[in-house]
Amino acid sequence: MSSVTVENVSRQYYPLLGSSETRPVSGLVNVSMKIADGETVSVVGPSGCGKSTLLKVIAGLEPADSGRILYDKVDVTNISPQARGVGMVFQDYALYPSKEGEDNLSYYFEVRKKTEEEKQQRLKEVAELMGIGFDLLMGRQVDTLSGGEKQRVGIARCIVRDPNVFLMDEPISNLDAKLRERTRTEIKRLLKKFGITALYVTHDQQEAIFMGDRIAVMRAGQVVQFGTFDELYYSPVDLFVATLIGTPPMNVLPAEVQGQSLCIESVEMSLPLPPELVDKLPAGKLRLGVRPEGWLVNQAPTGGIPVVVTRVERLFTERAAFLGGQIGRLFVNALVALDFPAEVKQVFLTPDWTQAHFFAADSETAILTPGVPDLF
Amino acid sequence: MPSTRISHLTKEFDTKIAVNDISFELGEHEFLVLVGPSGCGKTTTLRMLAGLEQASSGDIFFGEKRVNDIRPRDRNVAMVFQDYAVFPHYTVYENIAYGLRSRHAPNALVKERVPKAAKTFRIDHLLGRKPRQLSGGERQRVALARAMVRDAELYLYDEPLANLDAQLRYQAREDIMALHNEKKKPSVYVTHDQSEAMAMGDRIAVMRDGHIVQIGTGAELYERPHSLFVAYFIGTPSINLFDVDIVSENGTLFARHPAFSLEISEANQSALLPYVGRQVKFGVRPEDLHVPRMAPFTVTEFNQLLGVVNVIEPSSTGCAVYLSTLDEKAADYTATLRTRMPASYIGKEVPLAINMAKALFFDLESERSILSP
Amino acid sequence: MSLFPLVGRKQPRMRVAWSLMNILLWLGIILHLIPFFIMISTSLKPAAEAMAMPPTLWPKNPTLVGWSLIWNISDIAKSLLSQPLSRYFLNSTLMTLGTIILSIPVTSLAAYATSKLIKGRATKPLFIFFIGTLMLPGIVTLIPSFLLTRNFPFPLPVPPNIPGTDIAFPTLRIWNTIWAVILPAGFSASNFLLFKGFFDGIPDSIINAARVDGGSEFNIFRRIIVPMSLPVYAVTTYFTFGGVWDSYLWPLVVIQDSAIAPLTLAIRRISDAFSGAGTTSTMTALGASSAIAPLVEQGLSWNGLMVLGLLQALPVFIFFIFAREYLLKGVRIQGLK
Repeated sequence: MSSVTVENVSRQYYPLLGSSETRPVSGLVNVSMKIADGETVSVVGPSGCGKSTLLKVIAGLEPADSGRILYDKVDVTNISPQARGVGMVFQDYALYPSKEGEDNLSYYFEVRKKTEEEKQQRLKEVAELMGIGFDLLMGRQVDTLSGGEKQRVGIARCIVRDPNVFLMDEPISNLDAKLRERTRTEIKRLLKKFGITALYVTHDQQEAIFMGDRIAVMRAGQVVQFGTFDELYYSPVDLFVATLIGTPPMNVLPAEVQGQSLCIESVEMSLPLPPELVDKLPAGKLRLGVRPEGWLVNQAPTGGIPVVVTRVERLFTERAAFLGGQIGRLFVNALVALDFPAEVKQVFLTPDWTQAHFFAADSETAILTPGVPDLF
Repeated sequence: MPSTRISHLTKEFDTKIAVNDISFELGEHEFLVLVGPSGCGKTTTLRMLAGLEQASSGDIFFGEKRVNDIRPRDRNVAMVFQDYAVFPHYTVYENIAYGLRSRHAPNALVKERVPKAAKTFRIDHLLGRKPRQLSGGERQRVALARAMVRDAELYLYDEPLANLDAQLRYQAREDIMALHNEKKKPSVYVTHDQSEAMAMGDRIAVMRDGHIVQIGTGAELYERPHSLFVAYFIGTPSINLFDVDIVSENGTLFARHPAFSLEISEANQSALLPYVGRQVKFGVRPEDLHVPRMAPFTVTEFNQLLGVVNVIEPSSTGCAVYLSTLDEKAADYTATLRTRMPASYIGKEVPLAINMAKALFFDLESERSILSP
Repeated sequence: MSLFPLVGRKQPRMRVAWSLMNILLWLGIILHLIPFFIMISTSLKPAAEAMAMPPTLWPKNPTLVGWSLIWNISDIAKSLLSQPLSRYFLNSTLMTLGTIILSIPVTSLAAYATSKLIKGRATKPLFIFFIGTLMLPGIVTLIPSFLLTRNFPFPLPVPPNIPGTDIAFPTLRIWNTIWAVILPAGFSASNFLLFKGFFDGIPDSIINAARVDGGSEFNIFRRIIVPMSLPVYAVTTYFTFGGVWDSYLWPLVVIQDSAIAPLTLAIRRISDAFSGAGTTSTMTALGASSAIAPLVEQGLSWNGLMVLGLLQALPVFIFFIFAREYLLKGVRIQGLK
């Protein structure tokens, strides 16, 4: 395994001849990132943000228009994908369909002209690594495998080659919810067990949080923020990262700082600001961001923002409930106790100022974020 | 009076029975969710309700009227599909208007309703666009608006959120609930995602192999599952399951496993008495595992479980910890905690206290619940 | 393009391969354009020069004599072609349009029915029946088909009498009318396959959504399916167009009257007249063959043939340009037959 360095990589797409669009489309804009040896980095972002392109550039399936890719200290920018020694796991599994499980794994040995003994030896090792029941999969036709089994074969196919880096493109998004839960634990454990350097691309932030030691958030071909979950969650650089990370998403309210207080625009209501915030916030319009757990919820009118409750969603596993409601036309979510009464139709919310986020109204970059809370 | 009722409904295809003798009733303004793994027959049931599939036997009633042999266009149902099923060559406006136009609604009505429905789902600025210029979330809202313009008797949803990005799902859920609350008509919603079912359904019917295995409110299914399947299916992270031997020591029953030995709570002692000397499935929900110092009950030697931490997943309410037991088989289990466990615990051995009062037990052969059969 | 690896193109070996590929492709393009150049230049030559040996690359005295044949054909030339060239053009157009108007709706409705409407045991035999017509080479069915055009449904030159009477069975006689070309092409198995492949790809949910929304089956086909399927309609129309417009053997068999003959038959007649007389050079044409000499004097030789050839090629070309976007989309979807 090796570390991977991406240096100022850009990539543009030119539209096909004859299509009505003529301007090139940016796939990647000046992306830099360093993945340490043995680290798993999740790349998350909406579709079309360039995360799959980044993966393909690192694998060598697409060229970089500019910039460099290094594996350890070796520049691989102009090396073909066959010679880079990467393992790739695809969303649609991309197994060779007419072959049995085992032949899918041995294809590598055929093209590399390895001996039969080498092959058998390695296959045996991998089957042991993959755990219980894996040797049973090897003898079956690919068509007869279920989605989860196919993906296990897909992962084994990568491990067999002992790659420099593991690249995974939404490997479990085709599986159903229960299987996804199990498979992701399995993948994570394999990655940790062998200290595999891995890049994990997904559109699902929850999966990104689970898989990644660090998370890169991408948007429109750029890495917006790259860091641990805590950095992204408590100190997002802009509104995009703030609303992407965390379920349910952060509530965002347009507001305006007026002297000592904050006016919430959609309900025309002023909340007094604590003195330590007054100095830090510029006067004028901004965006107030409050996470669902960052509200102080009152059933009696105590000066909070009135919210019409539309529903209460009880999460038994978290022993909590999310209260959904409306402030004007905006939907908000707040975390309440599991036994929150269902018949309550109105509540009053006040932001817990120590957990509140503030963003610029126009550029949407962060003005003030709470940072990792100090528990003790 | 039930607004929609199906009784002993069965659907056979050439080689298999997709839906096997199911019955349920829908209240006037009820939101019923059909949930189950793929191939359990939930979508076939929905398609029979819509009239897209002919029932092999059994009856479907809308009010007092049996509708088995009525064509879909005359049943007056509205349906939202997983792939949105927007008509690609029509503008958003024409897509929404299609249901009215094909029923020869007067133009004035179309002009009144379409912009209103579009406004509800915040697509009023997109009315002139074609679907391929829209994002997935916007297409979904077009499909919802198309269902909204009509006054249907019954609203059907076939996994409408499955193709959406996670962050869009919350908003889309609110939109569906808004549609439901506005129309005040019964709705049937199909999904394979139990968390969606728990969040949205007034009642939930869990399906498996063509049968409804349990129907009830979310809390009922979660706290008193009738079978191992329902217990496992409902709840994320899933319930932790172990094969344990029930043994009796000095008149007290214990659940014994190579990795632990747990004292069965007093309330459950008598129910498990017939199982002494036999193996049963022992289940405990992730939130019933606690850090011993913070447990809301007395921690003893016989309600603790030692394991090694594999992964810590932070969440907005705390964290989920994925562990495995220390015995040879290294069984995986999960705990959800209300505090954030520091990452430094990964790879360490930690004890967790189990709230045995919340434990569930299942018969190994029948897979039925021993406590609430 | 995409077959060529994207990464590593700067390596010398790749550069050589890249230039070689470019040279080959340009060579191919030029080879394809040469015949068109010769056709255009010859059509502008006077009759004698068109037959000159060695041929001239570009006419010394460009003239539109050949092109005037479209509207006027002199009395002497009438021994060869009874009508002005525009007449044959019109005949071809009628046959082609007639076939398209009949065949595309018939074929697409059949394909839609087998793809989306008929589910169950009948589907497979129906499908095999339709496809079965692809299996027989056209040449095998030529004579039986010809016989059928005389007295449909009897494959006989003279229809039999109704038993016990002297009255012949009433039959459909389309031989020597343009219907003989149009009707048999009313269903096309290859187009059927294209349509079915495309319709199979349309998600059922779209049709179901329209059903639930209250659309009748035909309304769904007309207002939902057809507008979605324009690319495949373009491709099939293009194939049908090309197939009928360029057909020669079948019209030769079923059309006798020169007044309703298509362009292809006219072209063949000129080419036969000249090459049949063994005339590939001016000398022999003027000297040896008395039948040809007057024609050449009237200004008709290979130049007229080239005008006909261009008339023949032009519509297909124009059609392609107009439907290009849909065709490329359709071809991309279908992987071209």
